[in-house]
Amino acid sequence: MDMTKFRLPAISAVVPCTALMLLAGAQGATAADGCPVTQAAVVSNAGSQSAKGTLSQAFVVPPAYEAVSGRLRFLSSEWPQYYGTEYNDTYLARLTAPGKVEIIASGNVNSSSWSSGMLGYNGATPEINYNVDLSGLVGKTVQLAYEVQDVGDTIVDSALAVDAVKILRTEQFVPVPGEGGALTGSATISGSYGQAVKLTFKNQNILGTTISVKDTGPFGETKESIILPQQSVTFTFSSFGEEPMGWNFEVSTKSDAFVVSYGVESTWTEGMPPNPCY
Amino acid sequence: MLRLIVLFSSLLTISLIPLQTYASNNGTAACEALPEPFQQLATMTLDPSVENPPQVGLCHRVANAEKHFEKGSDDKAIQELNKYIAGINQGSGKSIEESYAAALVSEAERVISIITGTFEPDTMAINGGVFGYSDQAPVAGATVTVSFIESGSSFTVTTDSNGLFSITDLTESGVYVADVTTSDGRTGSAQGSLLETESSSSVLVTVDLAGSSAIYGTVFDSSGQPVPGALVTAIFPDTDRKYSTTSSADGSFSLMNVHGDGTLILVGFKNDTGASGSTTGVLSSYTSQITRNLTLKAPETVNAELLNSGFENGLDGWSTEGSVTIIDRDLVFTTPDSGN
Repeated sequence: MDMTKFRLPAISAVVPCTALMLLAGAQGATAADGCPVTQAAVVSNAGSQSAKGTLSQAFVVPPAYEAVSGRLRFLSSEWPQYYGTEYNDTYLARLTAPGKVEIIASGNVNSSSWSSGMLGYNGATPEINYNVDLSGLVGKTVQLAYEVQDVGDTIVDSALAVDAVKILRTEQFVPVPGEGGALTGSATISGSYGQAVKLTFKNQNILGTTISVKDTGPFGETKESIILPQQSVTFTFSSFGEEPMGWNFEVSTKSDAFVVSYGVESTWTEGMPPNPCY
Repeated sequence: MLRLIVLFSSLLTISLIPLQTYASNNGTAACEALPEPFQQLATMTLDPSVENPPQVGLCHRVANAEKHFEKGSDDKAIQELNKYIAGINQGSGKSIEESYAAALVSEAERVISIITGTFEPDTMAINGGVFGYSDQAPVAGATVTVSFIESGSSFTVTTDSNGLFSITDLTESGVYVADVTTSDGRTGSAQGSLLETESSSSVLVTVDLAGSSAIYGTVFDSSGQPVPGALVTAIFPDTDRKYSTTSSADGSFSLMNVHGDGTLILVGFKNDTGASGSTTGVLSSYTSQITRNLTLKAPETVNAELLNSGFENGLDGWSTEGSVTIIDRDLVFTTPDSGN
């Protein structure tokens, strides 16, 4: 089968010449044996009358959808020349549904850290991991949208690279044997888990508390919440790589009183075969 | 004889039409896109966790109940739902996994309680915390007003010694705005979402002294009509400051006393439809006031589930504006995380 047919769908609009040259080299995509071949989308404000590029999909959330996760990367030619000025393109990823709006990721040229560019853009940010909870939205229509917008000019372009969106289903998570316990202050939770990890914390104190959990990985997210006495909160983290993989979470609080118990669920635990697909 | 053959052929054709329709939609079209309060039950019934049979039969029970309910025949609607429950119990552990069967029965009973008027919604809570922008310290004694953007109903509480607050016994859900004022003159606002399927929602608000800038505008729908009761949130990426408010009866909004922190992203949202939109602007030392209008758009196409999530079929299932291209993911995402 000629896989190039499936790897390079029609290019929908104008992209920089250098990007086109790189796209030509995209035919050599590889995936581990037996893994689905997935690709990425690049949303750009180049050549847009509205100075905006958008990629979106609306869908009904089926039962057992736990979350969607993915990776983003902001690319811009405004860096480094216009860094620190108001010529400062922005990106935005959001999830909306009747009764819910969540800003998944947002930023601009000034708020980002930069390294050398790719796809014809001068600079690229580190990868941005995101994870959006869908468990309370079963049966509802949600829209996932990724945008790049010009600010101040429409001459120098930027783009948002959107990696394959991963669907996490409830049945994929299993309790990690031997993991869990009680925390009375800042602490670290670490271990070999799967691509997605669910940490559930229950406040065992008589006072409410704040809780913050940071995935200390290179592109890790930080999640925060308030937990009242005897209530629980669940944070889901995901990463892209072969299972099992090492995870390290820093747990902290802004409150004086902090007594929580926690449990860990993951898409991979000891005894499962390694999973090379991501 | 010829007449009889023609008559028989006609009858056969007529009788095959519904049969073909039935076959073409696998028999479950009847319970797709049913209105509330049947929507959730129909969606759950169509899940692959329910084998066929009895899936199609159960689907028609829900659709029939909805038709009776629509006509005001509540008794017949309840009869259908009781037959639905009997069907679930019969298939439990065989064609329907036991725990999923229990969830279906529970949802059917919820619908019955809505029809009979005995439904008592579980109460929900909004829990939050107020912290200083500069020092991140908890702010005690701050006044917090939480307002649901769709109904406008609001609740006011005061933060405790840890800067925390809780609004309990809520029976209303949706997107809300939390406005905070402190005794030393600091203010702040944040948005949050409380889903009817959740018991609580959490929101963190940072407060700061008033800035000298303002954002004005009007929210419109895709036909150009003003949208009252829409959420408007301004995000300043340079400083991570955020401000939220709700549009007025004429669709206008104003965010006053904001800090002019450079580039801003303005997001608009309507609670009942999920329609949203965004725009950008700049507030700097040169420009202390700007006007930006927002246009909210509801999705034109809705897929039955997330399609083509890995872009393996190009952009099938996705909507685009401007330039969107498909590339080999390894060109951009070069680091399959090997762990932390």
